[in-house]
Amino acid sequence: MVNFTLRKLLGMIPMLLIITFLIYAGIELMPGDVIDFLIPMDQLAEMTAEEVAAFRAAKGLDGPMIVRYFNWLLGVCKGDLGYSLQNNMPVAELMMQKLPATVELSLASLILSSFLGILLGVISALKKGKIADNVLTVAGMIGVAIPQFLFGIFCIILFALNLQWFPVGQRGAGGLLSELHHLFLPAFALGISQTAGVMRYSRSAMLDSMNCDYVKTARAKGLPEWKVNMLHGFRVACTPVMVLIGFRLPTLISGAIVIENIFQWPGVGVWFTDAIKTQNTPIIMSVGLFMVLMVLLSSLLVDILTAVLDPRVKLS
Amino acid sequence: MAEKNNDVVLSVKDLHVYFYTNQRCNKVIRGVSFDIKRGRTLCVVGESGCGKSVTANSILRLLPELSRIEEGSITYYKEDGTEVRLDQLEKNGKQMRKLRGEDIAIIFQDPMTALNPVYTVGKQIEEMLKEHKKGMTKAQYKDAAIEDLADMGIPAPDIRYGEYPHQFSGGMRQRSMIAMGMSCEPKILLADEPTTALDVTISAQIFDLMNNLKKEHNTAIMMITHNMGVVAEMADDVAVMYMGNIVEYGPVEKIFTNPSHPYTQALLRSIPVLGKGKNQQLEPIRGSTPDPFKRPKGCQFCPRCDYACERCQNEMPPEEWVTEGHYVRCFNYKEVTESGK
Repeated sequence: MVNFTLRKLLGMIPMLLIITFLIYAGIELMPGDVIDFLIPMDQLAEMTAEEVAAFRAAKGLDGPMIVRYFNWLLGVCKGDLGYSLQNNMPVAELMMQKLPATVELSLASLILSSFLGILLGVISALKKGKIADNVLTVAGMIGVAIPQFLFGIFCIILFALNLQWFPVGQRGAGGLLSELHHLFLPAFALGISQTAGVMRYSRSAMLDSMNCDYVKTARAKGLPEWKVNMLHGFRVACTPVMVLIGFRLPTLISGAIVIENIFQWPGVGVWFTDAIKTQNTPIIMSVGLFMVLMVLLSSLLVDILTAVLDPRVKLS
Repeated sequence: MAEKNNDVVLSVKDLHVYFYTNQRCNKVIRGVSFDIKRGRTLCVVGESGCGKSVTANSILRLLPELSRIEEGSITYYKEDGTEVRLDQLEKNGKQMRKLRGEDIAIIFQDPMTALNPVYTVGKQIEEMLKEHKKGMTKAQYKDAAIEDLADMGIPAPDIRYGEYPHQFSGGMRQRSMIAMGMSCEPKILLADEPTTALDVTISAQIFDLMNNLKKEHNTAIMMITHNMGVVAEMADDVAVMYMGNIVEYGPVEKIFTNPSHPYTQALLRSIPVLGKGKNQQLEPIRGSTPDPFKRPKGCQFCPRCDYACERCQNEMPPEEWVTEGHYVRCFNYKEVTESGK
């Protein structure tokens, strides 16, 4: 297992290089010149070509893209994420301010959607063809189809403004209870499609499992129904569901950006979209690097989890 | 059924089981009666879909959701003399669950899928013990499970105990299934085509094992098969099923030497005999099994039967006793028996 993990981690390096390079190239391909965002237009008009070039050089914006990419890479290897072009603040410091909120939201959403999705999926499978199953099936389709931002706004209007069960937005302060109270609605809105997806998938995995002979064996042993359903049916259905959850984890991270905007969540979301708009390369690259790392790590986690859950899977 | 004696552990009388699918009713079992006796093996033979497995599953109430026992009774006679009407118990209720595994165990056809892939074989045997023999220590459960494996002739049982089903061969898995089935020393062992998925040598070993169990523990065995060779090898009693009825039932000698139902005769004629040479004539049964939703009105075998008369087309023949303990569902059984000789 240790061996496997190490090999997988090493294997991530080339992937990280390729993906970060692609992001860097993407920023480069964006229309407009970053200088336009850094110097007000009237000032820029008065500057001479030499002055502009000097400014570029000072910001490290001169030279061919490939050189600048490797400079950035070198910095990252040394633990230096660079400085924001806008206000010269160190990116690492800014990240430390914004990232916890985003991670908190994504994690909460992951836990909520997995728990809810699996629970409803299993209920749906055990009540197959009954009213509960039909209702959940329709709800599941709506959940998968509805755009996140729409659902987020809908949640705010219904649960925050009309029913006033939850605060409209922002992160809670002062005590765990207040934090959870603020966290629930955005986490729920962020996880809606994940919940629906996990639910549909759990239902079919559970049905598959319940149709297998070992469930009949379990019943023939005289086990009570809950043991038959949970220890035999659900335990086997677990593996594919975990894989699905792991692979959909990235959508939670990227989806957080939209939801953070709607719920005024003080995470990287708004900051990141602003950075893209102003071509703030160090910020885009740092957040991008973080997301890519999350995706790769979650796929590693899926591999390990599968091997833990299913003894037939060997890590090699 | 004939006289009631103390050897009978399970008695099925006039059992009707119907399946309801797509608003249609399939009368899968249409009046089946037989006894399972202590220390004897009852073999149930018949072609696919004739209701053999459904009969076995009805006994343990393991039928799928859309099916129902409509009529008849399944009575289990406990050793202390009390009678339990299995058909009247709640399907997954406490009483039924207590009987499952402890008094009546079942082995399924395919050992590849009958064991749960995510638990060790040892744990799956222990699960049975823990359900029925409460209050033992962890180590005792483990020892008991290892002993069960050892009893089934599994080499290195203490290592095998901690292995997963996928690390077992087919024969080993079936042995483990039997070990699990026998772990609580049930009075009845239902074996639903236990060797269909295994090769011939392994089958022979499994049969030996079952014969030993029968002798040592006086277990009653009900074995479902469609192999007449297995019947000859294993059976004390035979029930021949066709389209949801037992068409002939009796001790194995009687069935083989004096088959009284046209279907039994036809079955026996369709088996190749080793040593008769390449040119032996096998007689397949003409026609094919009718659609269960469009059954013949009278005797189910009538359209394929050489002895069919007008009465057969309209009426299901009742169980007629040929000799003691040997019944047949055929109006013309006397004629059939004569010509079969």
